Amino acid sequence: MGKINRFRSIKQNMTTYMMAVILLMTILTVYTLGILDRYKDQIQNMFERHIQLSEIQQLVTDMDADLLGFLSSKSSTRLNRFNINKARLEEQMVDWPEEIYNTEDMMLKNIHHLLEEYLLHAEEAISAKRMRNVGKYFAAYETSDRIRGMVVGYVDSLNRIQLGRNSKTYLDLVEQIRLLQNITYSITATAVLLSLLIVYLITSGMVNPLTHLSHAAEEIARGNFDTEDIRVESEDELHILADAFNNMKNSIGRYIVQIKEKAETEAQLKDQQLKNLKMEHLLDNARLYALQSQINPHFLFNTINAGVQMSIMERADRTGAFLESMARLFRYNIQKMDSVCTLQEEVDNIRDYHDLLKVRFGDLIRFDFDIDPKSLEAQVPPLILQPLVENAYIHGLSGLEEGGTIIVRTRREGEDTLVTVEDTGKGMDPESIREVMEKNGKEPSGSGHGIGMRNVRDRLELFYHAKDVFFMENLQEGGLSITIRIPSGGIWNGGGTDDQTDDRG
Amino acid sequence: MRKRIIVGVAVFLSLVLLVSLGAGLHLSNRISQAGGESFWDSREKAEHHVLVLLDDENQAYGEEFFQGLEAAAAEYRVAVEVMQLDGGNYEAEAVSALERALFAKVDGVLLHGIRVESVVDKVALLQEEGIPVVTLLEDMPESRRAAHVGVNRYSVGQAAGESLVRSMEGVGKVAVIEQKSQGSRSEAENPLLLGLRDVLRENPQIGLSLVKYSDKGVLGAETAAAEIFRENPEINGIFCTDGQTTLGVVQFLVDRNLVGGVSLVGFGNDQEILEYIEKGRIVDAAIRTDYSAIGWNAVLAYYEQKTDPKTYNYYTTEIQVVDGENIQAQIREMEDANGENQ
Repeated sequence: MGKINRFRSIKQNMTTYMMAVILLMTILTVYTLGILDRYKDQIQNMFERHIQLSEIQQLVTDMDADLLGFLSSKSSTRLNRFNINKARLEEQMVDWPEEIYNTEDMMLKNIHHLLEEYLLHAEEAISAKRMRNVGKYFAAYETSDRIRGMVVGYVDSLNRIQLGRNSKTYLDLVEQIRLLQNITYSITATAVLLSLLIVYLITSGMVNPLTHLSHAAEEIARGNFDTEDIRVESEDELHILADAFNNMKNSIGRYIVQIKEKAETEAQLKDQQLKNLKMEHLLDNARLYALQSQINPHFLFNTINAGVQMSIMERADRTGAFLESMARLFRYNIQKMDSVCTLQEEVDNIRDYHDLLKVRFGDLIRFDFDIDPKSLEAQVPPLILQPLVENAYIHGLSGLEEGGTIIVRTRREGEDTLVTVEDTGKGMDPESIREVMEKNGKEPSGSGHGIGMRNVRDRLELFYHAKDVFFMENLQEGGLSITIRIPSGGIWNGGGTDDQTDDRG
Repeated sequence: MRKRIIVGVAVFLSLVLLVSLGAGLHLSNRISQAGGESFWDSREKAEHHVLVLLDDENQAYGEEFFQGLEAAAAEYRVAVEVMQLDGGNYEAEAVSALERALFAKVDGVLLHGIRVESVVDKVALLQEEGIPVVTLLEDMPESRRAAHVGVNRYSVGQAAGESLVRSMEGVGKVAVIEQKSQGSRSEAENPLLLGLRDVLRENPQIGLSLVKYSDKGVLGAETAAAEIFRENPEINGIFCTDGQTTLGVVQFLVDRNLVGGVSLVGFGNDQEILEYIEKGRIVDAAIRTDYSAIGWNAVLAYYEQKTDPKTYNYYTTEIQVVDGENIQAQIREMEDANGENQ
């Protein structure tokens, strides 16, 4: 409510300012007119009485001449003129001041009474003339003439007094008017300056907010929404406009942030989809690889099974056991390509692989299984250990005359499960390790074992949606150690189904 | 900061505007009030209008007289219109002025007295018309004037006689020189001469030889003195009844080398007369009175007669003899009085 009360429209402000300027100009005008009026009154006072007294003196002189003319010739024309002048004189004597404050009042009072006496004696002379009383009208005329002389004397004296007073007053007036002129200059200059100040306030009060608005609009046009809010102190339409502008700017800013967040979410979603596609691609590659390799495995698998039957018929038990291990290895490779398996299955597969290598190399390649039974339930992508063991065998131990040991170790560490494949071979050069571990590194070069390791690492990361699941390092005592960290609850949810397994065995 | 500067400038300009407007209005008020003179500082209106008719040759109506007159006028709110009539044509001018007072319907008249019929008749006419006339210095009892203000002339005569007896050391002949305007009554009726004779009667070796009526002014006095000494060379004491006559006789005595041989008793408060007394030998003594009191009493007499005609109508002022014994005190007193007036 208070805000409503404080609100003053531009129209009201303009009106107020204009009224202030008009008031100033009015004061100046009224003041000037008032001063001029007083000056005029003073000038009038100085000469008004003088003019009146001169008229009276002239009237009395004319009346005396007409009276004498009438008394001499009994001329009705002279009498009429006397009466006309008498009426004029009586008109002049209306509202004659009776109160005495100074010498001039005193003399005016004397003149007034003398004029009354003059008229009285003049009328007496006229009456006596009409009654043909010569002595009386002569005496009356003589008296009136003496009174006329007294009037003239008083008028002259009064004129002299007024002339002296007016001379002094005039000099004072000139001095005071000079001073008044300077004061009026000062008033005019001050009023003009105040008016200019008011005009400045009006224009700056309107233009400054508009300038701020235009600058802010330019910033927004450049895409910068982080400008400060425009503050307009006046409670008028500009204040409302600034508020609306600020609200609009802030709303657009918030909207843009929302759009950015939405775009980022969509980008993340697309990235996720891309990852999924990539994983599917990897799986497809693996599947292709498997299919390509299944040409021979199926043929070989059937052949091996025929060999198993033949070895049973020929009672060659060791050969039969060897071929049976080989058959299981092939079957696992073919069946588990795009499904989820347990760590138990992976370890069993490695055991079959061990059996095959044992037949080939005897005790030259040794396996040491350090298996924690609690860890075997962990879900893992298929065929992640076999590439690691193949790598240890092919690149770690195969070149050594004395052979070596491949250690497969599983254990629980907190909620996670660690799977380690170590060998006692010659290790791996750091450049190759770096190429495998770098996320965006170039594709590993060389004989291809790096590609298999990289494939295992990528599949693990995609499977668990985590980065820190695959580690490899050269051991100080020689050999290479590869560790897989299986996070707790790290279950792959995007994999294929068992139905997709092409079970041909 | 900018807002403060603007507010400061606006306040300053407003103050300048207000002060300038105030100064301008004050000045314009002064302009509009210019010329509005008044008799008195209180700017009150006068309750009475009195015409004062004076003899312009009489030294009694000097500065002191007008001081008393104006003070009383202010006290009783009386507007005084002073007309200095020509002393050489006083009678005619007094008659004309009294007629003017009648036609102008003034409230009262203060008239320097002159005992001539024409003036007496006019005074009587004014009294009949209800305009009270107060006579000054010279009484006009036959005119039925409302009141008289002056000195007790009998006392003046006595004081002059006593001073002459002292200065003439009890032996000699005395002459009196009086202005003609005041000598209209017979010597037997002149209270001044009566007072003088009464004193001289007690000193038989001093006699009043003659009374000379002179024309007004110093020259008239010198002429009168010359006639006296030409016709009565035994005269060794002179009494002058006014200041101008006194100064005229002083000039005659100096010119004729009679200083020290003739005792001179003058009249009036003239500074020159006091200086002669201070120097000694020329003027032996002077009878002086308080003319300021005469001026005051003139207005007072009018006011009382106007408001209550039954009151006492004879207002006298004390006289004082100034001689060699008290001249210094008199001079100091006059200087003090002048200092206060300034």
